Amino acid sequence: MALTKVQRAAQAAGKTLANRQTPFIFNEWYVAALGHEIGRELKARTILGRQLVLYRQENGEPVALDNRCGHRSFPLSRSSLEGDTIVCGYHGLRYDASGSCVEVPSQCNCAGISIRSYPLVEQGPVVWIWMGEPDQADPKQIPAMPMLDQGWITSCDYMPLKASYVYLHENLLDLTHLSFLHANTFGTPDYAAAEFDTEISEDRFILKRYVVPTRLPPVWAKPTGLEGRDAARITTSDFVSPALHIVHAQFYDIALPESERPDTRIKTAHIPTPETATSTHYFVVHGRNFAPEDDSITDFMHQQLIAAFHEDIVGLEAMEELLSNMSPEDEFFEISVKSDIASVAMRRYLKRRAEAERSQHSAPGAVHSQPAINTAVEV
Amino acid sequence: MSIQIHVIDANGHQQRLQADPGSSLMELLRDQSSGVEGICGGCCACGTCHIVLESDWQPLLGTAQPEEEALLDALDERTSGSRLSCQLRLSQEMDGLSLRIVPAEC
Repeated sequence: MALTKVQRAAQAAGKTLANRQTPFIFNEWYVAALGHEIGRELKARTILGRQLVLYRQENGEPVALDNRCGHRSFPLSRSSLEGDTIVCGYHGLRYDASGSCVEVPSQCNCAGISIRSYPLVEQGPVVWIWMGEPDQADPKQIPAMPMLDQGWITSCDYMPLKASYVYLHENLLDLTHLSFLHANTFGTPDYAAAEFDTEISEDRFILKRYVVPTRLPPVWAKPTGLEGRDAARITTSDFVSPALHIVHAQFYDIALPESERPDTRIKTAHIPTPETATSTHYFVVHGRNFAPEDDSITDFMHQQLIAAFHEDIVGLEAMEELLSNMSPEDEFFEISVKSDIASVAMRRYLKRRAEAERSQHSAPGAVHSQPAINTAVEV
Repeated sequence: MSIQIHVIDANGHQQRLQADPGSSLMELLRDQSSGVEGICGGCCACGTCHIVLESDWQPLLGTAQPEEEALLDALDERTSGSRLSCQLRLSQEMDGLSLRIVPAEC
């Protein structure tokens, strides 16, 4: 099929962008789980294509180990937790929380047998994991989540997403989709055409959109008392790291002079942790700085937001289905427009990071090949 | 201080454009000339802001970054001096710049 000039150029530009086939970036802190998901049961979870087992020690410390027994590949998540150790359900090898084998029932010697353990850091409602080079794990590099600051009221959730984390990041940097994909929840028709500016650096991509004047959707209008008022809705999409995107929004009645506007803000951490190339653990931590006493507002906003984020999931999964069903003969291109400025820069950054890790011989991503694109892993 | 750019537009007409340093050359040409569309808004992804610099100016404006290079390579009309004007920011040093627009087909 003959492509137009613009389609051909878009195809060429697409080669510089991360997509669902781009290798993972290992040297980053990712969220492995919400804290409450990890307990005294063995939990299987795949992160960056690696199959892990998660549990808590008796003192509450979380643990992440390779799920595969180092002896004969039995899943440790289907084994038993005894104290702080896992006893493999196949031949009874016992591993401690550091991944060292401390007992082989058929012999007295088990020195030198181990599986990999992964550094975890629990912060507020989330547990961060380092999947990269062990000597580069530095908890000081864990990105801050400002909604966990004092005085903010938070709620959190987890949603499985059958699509690449790259497209979730892109979705969050281009909120012009609010007017369409979220027409029934928190989008308004004026959102897509609103003015915006961008702040793009080497590794941070920020897009700020000014929807003024507007009418707020119920999720923001009801708790702020701005129902039926001409309001300002100023939203900042902030790609903080490959593992974290924070949406900041502020709302005010435009009839009020600046000095009289209440400080009414929300911050939502969207946390896409790649599971496989085409599936993502989508964590959300949402916070607000107003109405701290009112639990019904927490519940209302949470329910409304999750309903909207499910629209993203439905949309992104439909795209993934379409992409996975493309014939190899199909000419693939995606034409970018002005509102993609931040996301195009972000996707180039993800691709550069992934390629830089692959080119380092010792990078974990280079040693272990990534699962094929159509590998399905049940959550 | 404003600068002057000499342009041969999509129809072969000569133009002299005044501009202030700081914004992108693509935006100037899109708004004040013909043949530049810039549909990707300047993120180096559509190839619709293709220009050819007059030979004297080619060495003075640096070389294309890999993303621009990849896109230029996909354009039929690429020639020596081809650049994407969205990747050139207007500066004082560009006063007197001379270029030809390769019309975008949109």
